Amino acid sequence: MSWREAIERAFLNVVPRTYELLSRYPYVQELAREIRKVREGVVKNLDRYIEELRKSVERAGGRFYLAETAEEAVETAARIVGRGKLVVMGKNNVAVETGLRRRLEQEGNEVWETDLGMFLLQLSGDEPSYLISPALHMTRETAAEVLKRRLGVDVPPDPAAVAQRAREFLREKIVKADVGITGANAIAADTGAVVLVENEGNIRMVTAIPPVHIVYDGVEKIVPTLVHALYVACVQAAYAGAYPPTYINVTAGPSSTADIEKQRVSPAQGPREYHVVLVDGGRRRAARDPALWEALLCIRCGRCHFHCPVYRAVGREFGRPPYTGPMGVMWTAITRGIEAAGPHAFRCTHAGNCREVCPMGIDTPRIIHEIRRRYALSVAILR
Amino acid sequence: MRDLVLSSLREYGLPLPLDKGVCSEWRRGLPSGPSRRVLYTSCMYQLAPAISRAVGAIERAGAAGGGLRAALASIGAKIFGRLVVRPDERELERTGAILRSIYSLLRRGGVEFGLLDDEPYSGALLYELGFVDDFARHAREVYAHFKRAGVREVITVDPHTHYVLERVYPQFIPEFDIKVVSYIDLIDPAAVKVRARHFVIHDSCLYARFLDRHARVRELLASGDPVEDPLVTGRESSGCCGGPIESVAPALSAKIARERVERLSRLSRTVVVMCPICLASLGRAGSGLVEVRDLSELLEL
Repeated sequence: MSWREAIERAFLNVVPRTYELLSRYPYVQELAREIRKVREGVVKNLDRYIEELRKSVERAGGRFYLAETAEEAVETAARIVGRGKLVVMGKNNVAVETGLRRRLEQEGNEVWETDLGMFLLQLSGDEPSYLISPALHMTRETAAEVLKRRLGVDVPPDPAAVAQRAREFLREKIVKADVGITGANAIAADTGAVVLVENEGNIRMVTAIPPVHIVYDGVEKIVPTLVHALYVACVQAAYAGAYPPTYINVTAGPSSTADIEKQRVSPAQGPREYHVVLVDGGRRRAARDPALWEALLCIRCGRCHFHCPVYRAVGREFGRPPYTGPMGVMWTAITRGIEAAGPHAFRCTHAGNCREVCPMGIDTPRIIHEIRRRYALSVAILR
Repeated sequence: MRDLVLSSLREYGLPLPLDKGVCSEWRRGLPSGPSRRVLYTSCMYQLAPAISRAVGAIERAGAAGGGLRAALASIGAKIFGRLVVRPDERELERTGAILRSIYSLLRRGGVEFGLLDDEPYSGALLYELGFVDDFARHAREVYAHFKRAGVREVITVDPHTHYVLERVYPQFIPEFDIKVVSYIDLIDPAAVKVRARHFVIHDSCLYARFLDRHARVRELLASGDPVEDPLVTGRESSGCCGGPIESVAPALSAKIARERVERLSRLSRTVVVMCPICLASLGRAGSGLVEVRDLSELLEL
């Protein structure tokens, strides 16, 4: 099956379903408007919210780290993890962006992706093609072949069988893991709570079973309150075509109990350590940029991808993984600079579908046009 | 690419090295009339076949697979080697007929307007390619040209020209005071007849999603009972023809066009477009599979 067939099938599955969900649960669109408003406030006052979050995480018994660069972020996480550990990860685009898994492996850690798509990509040494389903380009036959080649198990080319075999393998790793690393759909500045949306159930285990939980994501995920973070979870899931999501996880510190005399002690059954590593990596500079700031509002629902004629034609060649598609061109500019994003911006047809379907109403065509302008200018200057 | 476009603008008044005479061939024998309100082609319909030829040259040079730089180098070499692009005569004849249809539709509808003897190019391609400073300079020259000619209102015939005049010029020329209307807004849907039935509409991205004309086009074509599928022809989900990137990424442009044609062809073998870029792009990709008609070719008063 080619990319063309894969994306067409996915389009026909997810696009009508998303329209149907938005029609059935119209309040989600109200929530989206509310989220746009509050996130604009956060982006315009990012440093203040980072500081508020720092205090909240520490108040909740966690440790907070702000990493200016990708290198600083992976080194921070590597120091927390240490050497020779078993690490399990939830799907995390910032981990891909910064090369976290590879760095942890260099320290002699055994690291496993627990999201099925990411697990298959890890086994095959491949890159993600889509934010939500990173192995969107992979066929069932390829998935079965990867399991056979890398794990030595015969699995029929059937998604359920592949998922079952991955579950058996990963369950054992999760139960024995020393460290769980996740991203975040939203992080609440008022409480230090992290909200994560998922359907597989892996994130719920990764956040709760290992004795150490590290949250590793970008500063733009901050929202003012826990209620707003839950709104983000609902909006992201609905615009990704999966509402209600099977799980919404909230984590606000190490596990604890107050069952004896109401005295709160930690740990209880869950992790004893809660670390929040927030990555800047160009985001704070983007927040001050007259064009790029709006891209920070993206909630990673991946809806723009399916409506983009360029992404539908070439997949992950449009943008730079993990940031592909229309949002990916903007995010390549934020995280890797105009030089990296420019050639992709020139492939944009300015069709405008991305802006129409964005829950945050991000004017993506305008931003991509600005990236194109800056790139054209830089190429002209360099000549 | 910038050098190519700028040098062509200086030498030919157009973004491609093209004999500017082709821009006015369509109006031979038509009176200029008053210039307060003018029908303005910006040579877009006339240029589109020339872009096709230029892209053909790139593809023949084998640059399509070599990335942006290779493609640009190829077209640059060809152009500076004095390969002046000449549109195919049959295509030029057709675009001339399209412009005459628009002219007649407006005249029969009682719209009064004139024609400029020397029409400037709007600079849309410069803007779309991101050469914004160059575009701004060019736009000021075009505005001055209009002012010298006494133009107060322009009637556009294509979405690219309409978009830059209405939405972009005022960003760079604060005093821009020329009214911009599209010919599709001046035709009475109640009076118009549609020459075909059960066709599928391929919307211009600019008209549908940037200029809010998705519904207007359907008002004009309603009596032709167009075939609709929200996932193919809806305002949010209808796709691009690929044409806007054909000068920088011809292989990708052609791929997008082929995929678009394939989706449209599932609904009808007749595709109606309203943009010269779509006409050229889908016309080329749809050859033998669908018939691509311009909106003005279907409307009758």
